[in-house]
Amino acid sequence: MKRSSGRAVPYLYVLPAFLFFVPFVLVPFAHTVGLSFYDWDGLTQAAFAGLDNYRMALGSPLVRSAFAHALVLIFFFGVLPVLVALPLAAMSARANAPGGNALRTLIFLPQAISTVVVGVSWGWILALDGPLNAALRALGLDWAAIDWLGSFTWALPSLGMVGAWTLLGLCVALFFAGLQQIPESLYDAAAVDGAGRWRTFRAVTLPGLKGPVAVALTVTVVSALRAFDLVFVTTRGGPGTETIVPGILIYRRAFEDARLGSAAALAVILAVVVFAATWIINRIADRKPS
Amino acid sequence: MIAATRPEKTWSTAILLVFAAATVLPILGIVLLSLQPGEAQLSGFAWPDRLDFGNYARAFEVAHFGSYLKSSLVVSIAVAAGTVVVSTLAGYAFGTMRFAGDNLLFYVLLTGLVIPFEAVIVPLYVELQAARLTNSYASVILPLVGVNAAFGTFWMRAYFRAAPRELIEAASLDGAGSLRILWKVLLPGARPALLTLVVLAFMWSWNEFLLPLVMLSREDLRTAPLGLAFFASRYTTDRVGMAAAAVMVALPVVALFVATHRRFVHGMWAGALKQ
Amino acid sequence: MSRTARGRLRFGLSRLVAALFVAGISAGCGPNGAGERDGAVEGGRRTLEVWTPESGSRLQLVQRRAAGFSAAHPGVEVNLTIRDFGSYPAQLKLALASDRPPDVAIGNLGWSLDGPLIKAGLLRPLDPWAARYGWDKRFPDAARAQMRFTTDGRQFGRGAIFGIPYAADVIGWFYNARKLEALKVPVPMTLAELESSFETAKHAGEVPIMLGNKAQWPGLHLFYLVSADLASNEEINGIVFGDRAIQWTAPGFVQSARTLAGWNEKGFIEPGANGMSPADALARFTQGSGVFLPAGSWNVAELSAAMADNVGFFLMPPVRAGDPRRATGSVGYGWHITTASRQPDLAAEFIDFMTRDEFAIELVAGGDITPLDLGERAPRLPSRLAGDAYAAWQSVVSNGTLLPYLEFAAPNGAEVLYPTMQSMIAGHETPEQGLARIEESRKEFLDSLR
Repeated sequence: MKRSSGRAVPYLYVLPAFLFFVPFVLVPFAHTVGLSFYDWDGLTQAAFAGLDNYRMALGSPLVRSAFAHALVLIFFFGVLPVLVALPLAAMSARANAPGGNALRTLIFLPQAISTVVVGVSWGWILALDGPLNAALRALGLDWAAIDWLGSFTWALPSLGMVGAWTLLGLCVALFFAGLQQIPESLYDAAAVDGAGRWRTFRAVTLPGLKGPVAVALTVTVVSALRAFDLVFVTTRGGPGTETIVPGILIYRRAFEDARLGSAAALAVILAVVVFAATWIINRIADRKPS
Repeated sequence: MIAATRPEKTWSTAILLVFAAATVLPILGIVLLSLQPGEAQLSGFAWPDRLDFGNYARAFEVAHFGSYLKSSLVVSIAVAAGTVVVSTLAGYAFGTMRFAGDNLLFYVLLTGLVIPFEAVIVPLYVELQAARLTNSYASVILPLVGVNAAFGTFWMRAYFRAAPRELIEAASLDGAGSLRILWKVLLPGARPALLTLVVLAFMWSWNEFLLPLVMLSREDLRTAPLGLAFFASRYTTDRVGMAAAAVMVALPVVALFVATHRRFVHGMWAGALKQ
Repeated sequence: MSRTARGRLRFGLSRLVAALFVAGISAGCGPNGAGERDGAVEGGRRTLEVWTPESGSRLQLVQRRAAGFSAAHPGVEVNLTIRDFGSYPAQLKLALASDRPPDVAIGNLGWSLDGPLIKAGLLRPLDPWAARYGWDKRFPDAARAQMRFTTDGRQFGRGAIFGIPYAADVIGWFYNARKLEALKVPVPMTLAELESSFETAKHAGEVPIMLGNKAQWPGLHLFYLVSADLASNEEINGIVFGDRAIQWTAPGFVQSARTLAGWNEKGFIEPGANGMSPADALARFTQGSGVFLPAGSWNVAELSAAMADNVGFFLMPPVRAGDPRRATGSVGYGWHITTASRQPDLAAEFIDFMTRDEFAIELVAGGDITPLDLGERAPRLPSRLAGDAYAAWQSVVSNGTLLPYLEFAAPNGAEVLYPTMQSMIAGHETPEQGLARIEESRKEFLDSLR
């Protein structure tokens, strides 16, 4: 590593980034933590509330169901795309067929589209009189043509599938790239050992993809925990409270109900969960022997 | 990889094609919807008998999308530029220099990757309101650069760390100062990494919803996704108009992505794998 | 510069957070820092800051009238800030804490918005001006309770006068006249007739009740219609005015919820209701979907513009033929003067201007309802529908059967009340379960008032 010429020089390089990061991210976050111990409506004097906000949050069925819904979304946003992307990427890398690049790019396309556009578009597609139901009816499956986003049972899974649609391409891209990094020699060794396709996959491919899988899971799980845009633009938490997720609850408490202390406590809980999930995923990835 | 057999290649392409089609179909549906004549109350997937760009014109004139797109452009360009500058400088220092507290500072910055915006938005709003900055582009640009600085620094640091040491040593022995080294020696080769960062920063700030939702309530400052959300909630029955608006909001970033996708994806993989 | 960086490092994260915490809390909170309010008086020109959540034709009327006030008072400018109804409460609260608080603000009755603001001391009691301008005499008896709040914000329905209303509303059934004719069904006069007309419509392949419940409160309005028949005055008033002896689990409410769930099960309610916005449902109704549309009288202008004489309005028919009809309604939002205002007299003048007969006449001419009794000065009504709505309002006022909105009983209806209504109607939970939950959240709120 290069020794800095002047002792202050590295700090000067780092300063601009911190000039933006500290006042606009770190300080507000510290405020949020502080605010979470108060009861404030944004107007009158804040009243110290100690751990009340946390107690109420952890004891509130609505908050618990918000996190439960986030868990469901984690399955659809994270687990599902990863499971589907693995064989897709492997297959694609093996075949290395012409046009593969173009097809993979198409699958990635939803990532570039604003979640508001995604939400508004899928809101139309999943409508009672929208194209999905039209297709189902055309196939004679009239009984399946329901009000997807208005259904107490299907609204959350529907949103989950939209998330899976958005994130699949990212996982495929990450895994495809990761596969290119696995040394050919390992495959040769496996072939020499007489390993079949499935065993090779398990013994060579999967371990080699540990890194990309960790990245993919981190991004998708955090995405699921933070889901706000998609829900806000489609169901706003309904029907009933079936699609309430932590982000929606925080927004509502802060900007519609003016219960800022409560919103702050929820935000801190969310941040802790996000930290924890990220840490767990990366620990597991680091731990498994190669 | 063991080379695939002919039938395997065909199967693989076929399956990939199915997924690609399934991914693209909804997008195609919206685009088609946006080209339908104005009053059509479409339910199904219908091929328009004639291409009617009238909905786009309407979104511009009636729904002020010209203004929304302009706002998004201003914000996204500013954020992308700001992000690249601060991230490159910081990433350079973290990636090539050692100094007291470098690890700690880096990890502090890294927390920005995991802090959800929801945990920041409330005090941020209160502070910016007190500073009379709400309802200004600055209220969106400044925090976004802050958040992106975390990822950006992380990204550029990875690039700089992987840069060949000999080059740097040689240049410094030649008497070049650190800025010179950065500018002349390292940056030229950093184009893929920089391009990826620019595209990502532009894309993320264009698509950002929560922050402008909270900070910008003035009509003339609204960014495109915000405008779309309001349009969709107000003109709920104007589906073709909504489709046109949606396409317009998505198009710039999609176009950018398609134009740069080769370099971008390549840069992204390379970067992701350096971790 | 580097000293700061090194200093930061020296602190250590926990001490840093503690320091920021203290700094943040002391900087961030505190009452409306109404220090010097510059800009209010500039060389003789005065600006009146006014906040409103109105939209549509009512908003246009308010804007026109406000401009008229400026014209009548040279040197005074009225600055109208408009926010959408959903975020209005929170935004207004933030504005009241800023250094440019509004002088005049529209509230929302009961504890839905007025209560919390009054409790926080942000709104002025209007009794002195009420006496001067005669506000307390202007409005019908039925409305007067809704204008009162105790100054500690604890009791709704009595105490000082707060919001001065300007536009009334009542909830009822709009119907597609041609469809009823085609179904050979007369306009229902009893609850039983209403339900049987739903049956007939359903059999004929029509959607009996068009509803857009995505926003979750339209379901509550449907509940109001049914509870107008099935819940008693004691039950409704008890909830609204905070009587702890009455609870949401009272039999009248259980029966109402059960009726609604029954209607849904029988397929009387639009199947896509949960995914449809109220505006969407209205638009579809005007385009010929649905026989009945349960909605408020503020929709008269839009409906008559689209459907002319093909649409009519009636209040919930009684259980027993001939009984006087009861309906949920109110005198609508009220104009308030904020405590932070430095020009309360000017603000009062403005409020009087906005609530006088002249405004009411314009309002009625547009098809809306005024809480005032215009007598002979009442203009010609613009449509048959407006006539229906007006007659409906008059009847509940004169019969004394105007029922207050249950949502006035507590703030944050979107948190528990609206979603639970939606889920009870859908049969996702039983009336007993849902109402118990609503009662629990209400109890929490009432406890917090002590």
